[in-house]
Amino acid sequence: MQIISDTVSINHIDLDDTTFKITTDISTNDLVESVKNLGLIASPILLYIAADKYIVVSGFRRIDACRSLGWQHLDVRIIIEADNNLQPLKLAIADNALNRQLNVIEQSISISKLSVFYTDQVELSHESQKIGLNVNPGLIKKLRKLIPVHHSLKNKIAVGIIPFSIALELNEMEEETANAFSQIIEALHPTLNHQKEIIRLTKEIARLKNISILDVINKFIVTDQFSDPELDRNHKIKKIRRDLKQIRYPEIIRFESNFFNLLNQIKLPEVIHLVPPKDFEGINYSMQLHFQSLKQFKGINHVLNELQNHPDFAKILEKEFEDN
Amino acid sequence: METSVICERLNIPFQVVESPEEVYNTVSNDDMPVEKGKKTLFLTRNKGKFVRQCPGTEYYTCCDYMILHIGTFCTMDCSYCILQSYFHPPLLQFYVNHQDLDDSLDQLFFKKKLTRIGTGEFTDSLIWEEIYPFSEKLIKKFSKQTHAVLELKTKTVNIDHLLSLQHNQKTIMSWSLNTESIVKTEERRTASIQSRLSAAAKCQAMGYPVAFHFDPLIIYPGCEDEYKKIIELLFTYISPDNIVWISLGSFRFMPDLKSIIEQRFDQSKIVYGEFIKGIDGKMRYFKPLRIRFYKKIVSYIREFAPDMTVYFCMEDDEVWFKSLGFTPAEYGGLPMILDKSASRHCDIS
Repeated sequence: MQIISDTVSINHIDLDDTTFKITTDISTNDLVESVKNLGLIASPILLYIAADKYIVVSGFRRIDACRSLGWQHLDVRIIIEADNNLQPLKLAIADNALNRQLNVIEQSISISKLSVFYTDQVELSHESQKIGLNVNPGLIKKLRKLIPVHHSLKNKIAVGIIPFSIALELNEMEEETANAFSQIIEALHPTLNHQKEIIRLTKEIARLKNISILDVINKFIVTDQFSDPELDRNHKIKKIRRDLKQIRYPEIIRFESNFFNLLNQIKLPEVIHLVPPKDFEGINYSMQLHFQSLKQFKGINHVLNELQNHPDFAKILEKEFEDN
Repeated sequence: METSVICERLNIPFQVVESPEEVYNTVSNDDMPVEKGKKTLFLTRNKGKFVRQCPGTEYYTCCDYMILHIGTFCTMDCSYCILQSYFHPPLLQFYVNHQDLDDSLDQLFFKKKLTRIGTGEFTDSLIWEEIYPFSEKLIKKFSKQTHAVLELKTKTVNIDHLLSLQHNQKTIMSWSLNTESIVKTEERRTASIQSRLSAAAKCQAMGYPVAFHFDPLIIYPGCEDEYKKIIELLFTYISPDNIVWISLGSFRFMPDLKSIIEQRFDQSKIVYGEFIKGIDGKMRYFKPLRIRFYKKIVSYIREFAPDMTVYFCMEDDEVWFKSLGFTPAEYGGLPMILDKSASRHCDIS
C-alpha cells in the first residue's frame, strides 16, 4: 500500500461511497467550530479510484465540516495503490478506534466489514485487536447479531439509550415490537435489570397466551397509567413489573398475597418482623426483633407468647393459606 | 474388540482421534452443539469410575442410587433433558473398556451390600442395544449374584432380545412415562406410551420386575386428567404386584437449560411454568403447586395400587409429608424404603 500527501479538490471526493465508513455520528457542528478556529488538524485519508475521483477511507465528518465552511480544496493523505480493500479498511478502523471508544454499532459495522476478509473468528479477533478494536470471539459472535440492525433502533443503540444486551434481544424481534420496547425504555429509563425483566416477562406472557408480544405491550404495559403525566417514572416501572408478574406467575402472587393478608391479621408490631422462607421453598422462617430496652424486650416477649397460640400464625408456619 | 464390533455394525464413516479434545472441540465449536453431539458417536475408554453415586444435592432427599456409567447422552431428543446442559460438551459417548466395567461390578458384588444401580441416568439404558448388545451381558452378570439389582431405564422398546434371558429378577426393566401430549410435543424420537407399556407387559410376562418413572411431571392446563389417563392405562397393562417402585419428580432444571430449550424447541412452553429457584440452584415449580399436583398423582396411583412404593426424586420432607402423609425417616429413610421393595421383588438380600 502506498500513501502520499496531496491537496485535492473537495468536489472530487465521493462522500456517498460508504465502503470504509465506520462512524455512526453524522453531526458536524462541533467539528465546524473546531476547523473554523484551528484549521484541519488531521488530514482525512482517501483512496484513489480514478483521475479526479476519490473515496473516503477516514474523515467523513471532517470533509463534511470543511465543505460546509465553503472550502474548495483539502490537504489529504491518499492511498494511491492497494492490493485490495483490507488495508484501507484497517486504516479506517484504526483511525477511529485508536482515537476514541467505538460504540456498539460502529464495532458491529467494523466486524461486518472485516468479516469479508477473515472467516475464522479467532483470527478476526486477533487482527481486530491489532488495529485497536478489542473484540474477543465471543463478542464478535454477539456483534454479528447486530448486522443488520433495525433502522429505528440504530441511533438509540449507538448513543447508548438501548444497552447492548437489550439491543441483541430487540434486534431479534419484529421491528414494530422492538420499537415499542425501545420507546418504553426511552420514556421510563428502567435499570438494565428491570429492562431485562420487563422484556422477559412480556415475551413469556405472549408465549403462554398465544398472542403477540406487541399485544402484551399494548394490553398490559402501554396503559392509561403509562402516559399519565401525574405519575413519576419509578411508580410506572413498579406498576408495569407488578402487573406483568401478576399475569406471568398468578399462583405465586396469589399465595404471597394470601400470606401477607394473614400476616396483617396477626397484627405483629413493627418491632417484630417475620420473614418467610425464600419463595416458600425452604422450611425455615426467621424473625427479626428490634428493641432498645428491657421494657421493650418484655413487650416483644409478651407478643410472642400470645403469638404461639394464634391460629393464623400456625397457618403461616404450615403454609396453609392457599384458600384464604 | 468392542470398538471393531460397533464399527462393523454401524458401517458408517469413522475417524481415529489422537485425543478426546479433538472430538470435544468439534462439538463445542459447532453452532448447534446439542445437535452435533447427538450425531457424533465417540467410542472411548471410561477413565473415571464405572460405578458411582448418583449426584444428589444436600437439601433434598436422595435415594442413594448408584450409577453404572456405560456412556453419555442420548439419540432421542427430549426438550426437558438435563443432559443437554449437563455435559460439556453434550456428546454421545460409549465406553468400550468393558473389562474394567466388569471388574468394577465384581468389586461391587464382592461387598455383598444391597445396591440399586442403573445405567439410565447419564444416557438411556437401551439406546445402545442396536450398536452393541450390552444389556444382555449385564442382565446375565447380575443374575448370578444376590445383593445388587440392576435397573434399565428407557423410553425405547428395545427389549425383545432380552426377554428370554435368565435374569433371576435381578434386573428391573423400567420406563419413563408421561402424558400423550408431552410425549407428542416434548419427546422426539421416543416410543409411544402404548408401545412402552406394551414392552413393559412383555417383560412382566417373562418375570422381570418392572418400575416406572413419572419424571419429569409437567404442569400445564389439563395435565391432571391426562396423567390420570396414563396411570389408568399403566394399570391395564401391568399388575401392581410386579411394580418395584414408581417415582415422581416434577420438572426441574439448571437455569442455563432454559435458553437451550427455548432455542431448540421453539414451540415448547414447559419452561414457562411458575418456577422458583430451589435450594439446590435448580428451577422448580413453586412448592405449593408441586404439593397440590403430587397429591393428585399419588391419589390416582393409590386408586389402583394402595400399597405401591411411590417415592419422590429430590424433594424435601415437607413435600413428602404433605403429599404422601409421611416422611422417609419414619421408615428408616428413602434408601431403606427402596431397598425393602427391591428385596421383595428381586429376591436380593
